[in-house]
This record gives sequence, structure tokens and C-alpha cells, in this order.
Amino acid sequence: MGSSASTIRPTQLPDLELFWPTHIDELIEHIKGGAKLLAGGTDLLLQARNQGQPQKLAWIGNIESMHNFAEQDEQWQVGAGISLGKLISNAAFRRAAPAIVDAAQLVGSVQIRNQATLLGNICSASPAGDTLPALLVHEAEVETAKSHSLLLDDFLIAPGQTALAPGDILLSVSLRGLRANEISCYYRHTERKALDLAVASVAIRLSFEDDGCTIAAARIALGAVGPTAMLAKQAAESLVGQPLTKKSIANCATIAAEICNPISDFRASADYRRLLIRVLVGDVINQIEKRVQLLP
Amino acid sequence: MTLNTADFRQRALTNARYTADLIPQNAIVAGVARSPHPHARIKNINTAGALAIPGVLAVLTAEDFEGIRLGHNDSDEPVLTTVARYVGDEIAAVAARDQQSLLRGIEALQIEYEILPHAITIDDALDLPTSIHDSCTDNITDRFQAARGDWYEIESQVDIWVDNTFETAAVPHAYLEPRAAVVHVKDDCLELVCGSHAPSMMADHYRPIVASWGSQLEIHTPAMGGSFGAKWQHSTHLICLLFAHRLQQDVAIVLSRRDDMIAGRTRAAMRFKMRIGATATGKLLAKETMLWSDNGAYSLHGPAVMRAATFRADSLYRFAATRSEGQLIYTNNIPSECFRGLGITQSTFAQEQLIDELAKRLNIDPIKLRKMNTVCEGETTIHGWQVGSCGIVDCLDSISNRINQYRRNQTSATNNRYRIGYGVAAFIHCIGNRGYDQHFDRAYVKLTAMPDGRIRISSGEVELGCGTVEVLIKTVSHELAIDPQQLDVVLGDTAIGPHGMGSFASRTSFFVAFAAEDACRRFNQMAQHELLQNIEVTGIYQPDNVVVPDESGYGNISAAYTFGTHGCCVRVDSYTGKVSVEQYWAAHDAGKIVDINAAEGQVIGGVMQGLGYALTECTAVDDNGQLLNPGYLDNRVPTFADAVPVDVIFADTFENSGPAGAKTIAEQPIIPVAACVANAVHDAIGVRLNRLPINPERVWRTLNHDTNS
Amino acid sequence: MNTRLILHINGNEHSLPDAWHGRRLLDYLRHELSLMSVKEGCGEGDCGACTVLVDGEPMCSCLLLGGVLANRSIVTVEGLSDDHRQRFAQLCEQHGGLQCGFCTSGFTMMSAWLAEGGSETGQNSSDKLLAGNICRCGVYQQLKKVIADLL
Ligand code: FES
Ligand code: FES
Repeated sequence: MGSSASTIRPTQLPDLELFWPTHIDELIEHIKGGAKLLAGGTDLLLQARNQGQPQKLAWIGNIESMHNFAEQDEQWQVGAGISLGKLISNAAFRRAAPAIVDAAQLVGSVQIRNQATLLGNICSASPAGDTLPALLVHEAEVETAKSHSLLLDDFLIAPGQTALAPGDILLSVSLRGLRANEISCYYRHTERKALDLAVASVAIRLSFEDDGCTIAAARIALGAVGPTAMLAKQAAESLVGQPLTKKSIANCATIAAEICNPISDFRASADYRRLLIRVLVGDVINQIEKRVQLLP
Repeated sequence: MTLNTADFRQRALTNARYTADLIPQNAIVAGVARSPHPHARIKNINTAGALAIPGVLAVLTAEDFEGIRLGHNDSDEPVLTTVARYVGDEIAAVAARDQQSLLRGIEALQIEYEILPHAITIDDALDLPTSIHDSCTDNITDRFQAARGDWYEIESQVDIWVDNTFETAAVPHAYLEPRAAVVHVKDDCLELVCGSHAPSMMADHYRPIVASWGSQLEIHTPAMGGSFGAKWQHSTHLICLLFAHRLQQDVAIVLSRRDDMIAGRTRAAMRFKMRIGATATGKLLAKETMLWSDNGAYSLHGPAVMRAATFRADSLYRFAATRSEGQLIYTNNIPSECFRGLGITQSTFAQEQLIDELAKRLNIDPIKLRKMNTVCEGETTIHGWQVGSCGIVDCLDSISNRINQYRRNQTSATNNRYRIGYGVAAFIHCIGNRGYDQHFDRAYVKLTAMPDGRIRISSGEVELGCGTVEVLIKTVSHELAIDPQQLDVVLGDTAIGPHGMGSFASRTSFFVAFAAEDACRRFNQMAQHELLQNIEVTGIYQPDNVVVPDESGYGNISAAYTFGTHGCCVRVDSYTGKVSVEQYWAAHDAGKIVDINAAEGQVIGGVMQGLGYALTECTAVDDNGQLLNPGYLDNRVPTFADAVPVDVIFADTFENSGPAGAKTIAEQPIIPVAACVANAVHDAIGVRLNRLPINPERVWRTLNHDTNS
Repeated sequence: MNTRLILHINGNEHSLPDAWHGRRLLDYLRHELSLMSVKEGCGEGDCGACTVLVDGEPMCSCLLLGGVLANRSIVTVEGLSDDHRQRFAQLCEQHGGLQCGFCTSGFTMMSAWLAEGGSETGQNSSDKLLAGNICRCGVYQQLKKVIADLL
């Protein structure tokens, strides 16, 4: 242990330099000049307050094209400026992406959800970020200014780290809404009932055959049990081609618990997180079965 | 009846002003440089860089506070230190014109450290090759022993022993208003404005220090956003006072939540080895306690808390012999401080689980076992406490009834995954304690007839939301037969006085009511031969049956004793270990209840804090002493969504020595909560959670007999 | 950049001085406008003591920069109707809805939002909606009654 720092940095937001670009090119200029993209700011301002950086911010509130939120052919586009609150209060979106709404409703508090954005959640790339597993099961792709779109799974690289190139920015995320005979759900384990970070989390999307019980396709994603939210492909595949049974669910849960890669920290140990994954997979599937019964 | 007082109304309307609301526009801002190391000697501080920053006005270091210490009995905390003893310890202070210069100033300080070996746990501290304080070579800063009865004789009669080790966690007070202080310079007087539950006591300590600078001191307490035992002496006060004195300008400091948690105070973490012996028929005979208390880096009220935790809970039962030993150990953790329930909250967690265990082993209903053994009205407890009114049996009975009723109507039965369990726990607590301080059970209330014809009631005590203002207004308006609208109440202002011990040990409303009655008597007497506008009287109250206990803590330390029993129903997810409290019952003997709303509020609030303590709160520290959860997100105090239905029951008692038969309700509700939950968890899943917090992973591990829990 | 930013605070227009563009709304409200009902309990978005309504929706003023609020309406307790304030205070008295009172501003703001029909999906329970407002004195059960009576 060195004695590099003389003191603990006092918690204090530095005076920030703020820019108001009105179109994307201008925004990118600011980003190249060292500014960070400011959308909701709930993570960024905390970072600045606790670490003193960043000090330059380019706010996207005046860039209209970054506030798109619309559906076309089951694909939903969510712009960088869209708050979690906007997603939650949109009834069509709630039907199209229940897992994402489940997750969004667990982030922070009403106040925070009115400020924080879905893309902010993606950029923070926290292993415990609630919306990330849910986005993964909804086949999310992110779109950056350099105009290529990237699978979310490839975009998330490590805690706090994404594939975003220096000088590039995230414009929007697109995700696939549910089709007929599909349902999705997200659960997490926390110690408190609200205002908490996931200790482990699971999102699942199941597609049923027309018989209403055979699984046609499945996607499972896990949170807080690896450096990034991750897809559990083998676990998902194990469900396909048969109806859900106690045994198939247990088998799927076991596979998910095996392939995840949790760490131990002060919130929980690695083996406890594995256990949680096993339990949560079963719980989420049960919840999906309940939701299926509610389908029209 | 409502809590309708002017003070309450102002708070309800959000018009009340708290310390940080009272900072003058042009005040100098102060901040603190804190150690990033848990234990290190400061070899050198270079302040030149900081002083060169425009806007930085002055820097203080340990030299400026030579010989000045904070603390009560064992004053051992320097204002600014030459040896950092925990991560966050105050090393230097900076005053600046604005926040940004202040930040730059603190960052520009160059401090050279010599890293010393550190201790985060009690065991580490006992093995540490160095001492944390020079004056204490073995890091055991206080020891306490008490023995009562003929141990060997009684021991031979014991048929059954239950024993266990229990560990409690350090938790932050986490009051919603972070610490803040403002100092106004008024001629040759410095006026310190800060929230505190004991302004007079603080003034007693600070006055000689400020006097040595050639200045006077008054303390004024505005509204306070929670203290729970924490807001008392603090280095930030003296830092602001000295800056104000040197710069002759108003100075303010407001801690961020993070800094407040890093360098705040905590409830002491404790480890108990405890055993209780009884006859085969369930008569309690003997109790033995060995306690190690983690003092943290400095003492504050550590010794008082450790002593209380060592033996006081014994007085609930008729033990024939007890042996208790306590040690207070310095570690490189955040300093501990009193926190609602003193050490009794910790020791009750241990004792009430052992009683529960004994009941299970003897196959006696746990309520019945307690009823067979609790002390009664008129008895003197094993530690010399003279019990006046005592409603413990009432409390036990009502909890028993509620649980039985609830159980009958309970539909969600235990299944393979979710297990339902019920638990109870009881407690005894005193009101004040003369052994702690001569002022502890003395209170003063002053009545002053003001020029405009109104009457001012003043007291050195403060309002913590327990209804002190209400009690004063009620008593005085009744005794003087005067419209409450004609009364003003000034609390915790040392310039107006009188002296007040402060809100410790649930003492305030009890003592204040009597002192107010006495003041009214004097007022009425004087009014017979004096012009109204000349009248200023001070009433005093001091109970006469109370003594200073002997060295081993024996003696009637309190004018009256309070009792209570809590019960709860929990649902444990045996897959994940998650405990949900489904229903909570709290029965209290607080004497005659004066204000039912305020009393219920205290109980429900105390239970909520207790549930946080039981289930989710802790200060998580890594091997290097860095606090890992300095905020509300990771240090999980209960949220609205975690609120549990609490049913409050008051025993119908009348305390002859109390004002209008009242005792008190303030600290008490937190005391039995953790034990109550632990007992319910045991009932649900058959394993004993002897460590706090009872978080899901710990329950899961205990259930799976994992020794690392 | 010479950007003139107008904020509508409690019904009044305020031109935000340049120096405040990159600072917290919380500090602007407290230091510049003396709107002391707005409290800082954590500065991290976790406690809700600093809650204000921005265009009618609750947000944490500790995590908002002044410069992103041009032309938006901001309401603090001082800007609520006297009726609502009195009613909320009176219900708090009746039910014991506060002790130290430091959380009260936040709950007052949330109550005003709920009273205006505030909700996320049209069917949230108040438990979930109020979970961002910490009361360390723990009077949630009483506040539940206050809110229930209010709505
Ligand atoms: S101060 Fe803003 S949420 Fe706590
Ligand atoms: S009343 Fe004190 S925090 Fe709520």
C-alpha cells in the first residue's frame, strides 16, 4: 500500500463546464474536445462529485434526433435522451418489453427513473445494471454515431467498459418487442425491497409453440454474476423443444448457475451468487408461466 | 390528542430551519483533510501549496489544537491528529472563500505518512504489535467487572446451561441531516450553531478552550435532522470556532453524506460469550457474560456503552448470581458512540436469544419462562435497581395474545420453501443514570416573564421529536393557568440557559416535566409579591431515591425503569435465506402515556431502526480499513417499501415517581428488535443466527451449516 | 457561450446566472433563492430530501445541473398551494407523520405529485413510489396513513 494520496478527496462536485449542442456533429466535436455526453446525469454527476471527473459535459437535451422513442415492425428504438420513466409509463412498451420494464422499475427511485436514461444504464456497463440482462433477452443492438450497430452483448466488455470508440457516442438502442406467444420477465435479488443494487439477477424471454406449452425459443441473461451482464445460451437451449416441467426448469437453472462467473465482494460471495441464479431462474420461469395465463 | 405544538407545526410545514439553512451568505467555508490510511503517523504536512491557492484563507493542523481533546471520561480524541487512527481521521482543516477553492486547497495539502500496522477487528487489535494510543499499550482501553451473589453456590444448583457467542455489527446512525456547524462572530463572543442533543454539555467542554483564545462561547441549537446519540462533541465544531476566531468572520461547514459516514460515528460492534444457567423447572439462576467491545479509534462514550452492555440487561430477571466482565478495545475503525439503547441493544440481542434457547431446551413456552423469572414491582434487582411500576407481565401477555390471534388467522402456512416463525424478546431500561454524570438525572427549566407579557420557557434540553416541547407547554399552561398561545419555548440555547444534560438515556421528558412543575411553583409564589415582568425563576428536579452506583455498577441508578416485550412473525425463504418480517408487535411499559401519538411514533420509528439493525445495516470495511458502503444505497437503512406493520401496545401502569405517572419512551423500542427477529428466524428454520446483520447470505450459510457465516 | 437560460421556479421566471449553469439545481435553489425547504440528505440521489417537481414530475435536485433546465417549470414546497401544505402538515400532526422533520419536504413534494394523480404506470402502490424518500426516524407507517388520507 502506497501513501500516494495525501487525503481522501472531499465529496464535492467541481464547477462543471456545460455545452448545449443542437445537433450530433456539434456534440461529437465536444466529445472530441474531452467532454462527456450528459443525458440524465444520475451516474455522471455522482462520478464527478466523488472523483472530480469529468468536468466538461455536453448535454443532449437540445438534440431532437436523440429523443426518438418509437416502434416499427416490432423493433423499438429508444434514443439516448429517453428516461426510464418514459419507458415505464408507455403502455405499448410495457406490453412489448415486460422484462425491460420490470428492470427499469427497479432502478433507484421514481425520482431517479425520471432522470436516468436507458442508454445511461448501458454506458455505465455496471455488472449489476438492472436493464442490461433484460435488454439482452430482447436482442438489443446499440447504434453509435459512427453508424454501425453492435449487439449489446458485444458492446459490454467489462465493468464500466464498453466497445464505444474514443470520440464516438451512443445514439440509440433498438430492441425486439414480444411477438405472439412470447413473454419476458426480469427478477433480481436484493436485501432491501427497493433502492438497492442487484446481488444477482435473471431475465428470460420464452417463445411458445402454438400449442401454448412447448418452448419454441428461449433467451436467458444473467446479471451481477460476471464482469458484464451475460447471455446464458446453453441454459436457454436446454428448454427448447419441450414443455416446461419441474425437471427441465431445474436443469436449466443448474446450467445457468454453472456457466456464470461471479466474484465475491462485500455484497455477497461467489457461491451465494451462483445459488441465487439457480433460484432466480426458477422464479422467473414461474412468473412467466403466470404471465402466459394472463395473455389474451 | 394530537402533537399540535408550534414547533411541530413549523417542521410539518417545512418552515423549521436546520443548521445548513442558517449559513450567512458571506460565510467562510471550512473543510477537512482526512487520512486515507487506517493507521499512520503524520511525518510532515506541507501547507504552502494550499495557502497559495487564491481563495484559501487559512489552514489548521494539530499544532493549532495542542493539548485539546474531545470525549467524555477518557478524553482521547484530538481535534486534528498527528497520528491517523482510522480512514477518515481529521488531519488538517482548510478555510476558504468558496467551495471550489476549499476543494483545491484540501487537494493541495501535501501530507507525508509513515504507515503503521493496523487492526480492523478486535482480535487483530489484541495481537497488534503496536498500540493505537501511546497511553494504552495493549489496546484494551477500559475493563469492567461485576460479580453478584455466591457464584459457586448457585452454580452448583444449575441443572442446565445454555451458552453461545454473539456478534453484533457496527452501524452508522445515518440521521438524515448530515453534520453541519456555523459559527457567528459577535463582538467577543463566538456563537456556535449546530444540531446537538446535548448543547450544554458541549458548551461545558468547549468554553474553557474558547476562553483560552480570549473569546466567549454560546451554543444555539436549531432544528436537528436526527441524532440518535451521535450529534455531540465533534472536531468540526472546534475547527469552525478557531477559524472564526482567527479570521473574525462567520464560518460554516457541512459534511457530505459520504464524509459523514466515513468520519461519523457508529454503534459499537460487540462480541459476547454468554451463558445462562437454570433449574430443570425453568428458574433462572446464573448468568455469565464476557464482552469485547470494538471502541473504534477513539473513546467518546465507549466506556459507558461497554459497561452498560456488560451487565445491565441482567436486571430484567431474578438471577441469583451473575459474573460479568467487559473489555473495551481500540481498533482502527470509525469511533463508536452512543446510539439509541446504549449497549443494551447489543446485549439484549445475546441475552434474549439465550432465554429463547433455554425455553426450547426445557420445552417451556418462551413467554411463560420469562413470566416465571422477570423482576416485579417493589423488588430490588441483582444490580441494586429499585423497581417501581413494572408492566413486564402485561407486556408479555399482550404479545402472547397477539401472536396467538395472528397465528389462528394466518393462512400462508409454512411450506417447503417459505418457513413461518414467531419470536419474542423482552428488555429493561433505565431513565438517566447518575453514575454517568452528576447532571444526568437533574434537570432545570427556566420561566421568564417577557416585556410583552408572554412567558418564555427555556431549557438546556433539546427536542428530538419525542415531544419535549409538548410536555413543557402542557405542564406550564396547566400549572400557571395560562393560554398555551402565550408561551414560547426556547430549547438548547446556552445563552439563555439554563443548563441541561441533553437527551441521553431517554431522560428528557421525564425530568423536564418535573423541573417545569417546580419552576411553576416558584413562579406562582413569586407572583404573589412581585410584578409579573420581574419574574424569572428556574425550577430544578432531581429524584431523591437515586444513587451514584459503586465501582461495580451496583446501586439504584435511575428514578424509574421501563420494560417491554416485542413479538414478530417472519417468513424465511429457505432457498435464499431472505427474511421478511410479516407482522410486528411492540408492547411497552412506559408508565402513563401522556401523548399517545408521540409515544406510538417513537415505538414505530425505533422498531424500523431496529429492523435495519437486525437485517440489513452494517459498516462494511475492507482489510485496509476503507469503508465500502458510505451511503444509503449500500448501507441499507429501511426504505418506505421495507416498512413492516407494527402494532403498538402500552401496558397500563402508573409510575409514582414520574410526572403524572409517566415514565418515558424514546430509546427503548430499538432494544429488543434484533433478538426478536433472531428468535423468530430460529423458530422458522431451526438454526440460530448469532451474528448481525441477519442478511440472506448469512441465513443461507447458517442453514447449510457453513461455518463461514 | 452566451446562453440566456430562463427557469420557471415556483411560478416566477429566473434567469440563471452563467456561474450556475454547471452547478447543482439544489445549491441554486438554496443559496441563490433561499428556498430552504429543499434539503440535502445525501447528494447522491438516494434519500429524496431534495425532491422537486420538474414539469410536474419528481426529480432529485442534487443530481440536476441548473443548465439543463431551460424553460422548465420547477416547484419546491414553497411553490405548492398553501392548501396542500396546510393539509399535509395537519395530517402529519394527526398521524405523527414526522419526527425530526428533515425528510418532510421530500414527502411533501411526493404527496403533491401523488395528489395530482402522479404514478408511473397508473397502478403503482405508494410503497414503491415513495421508496426513494428515506425517513431515518422511521415513521413510514404513519406517513402511509397521511398519504392514504390525502388521496
Ligand atoms: S439529497 Fe438528493 S436524493 Fe438525497
Ligand atoms: S422525520 Fe426524521 S428523517 Fe423522517
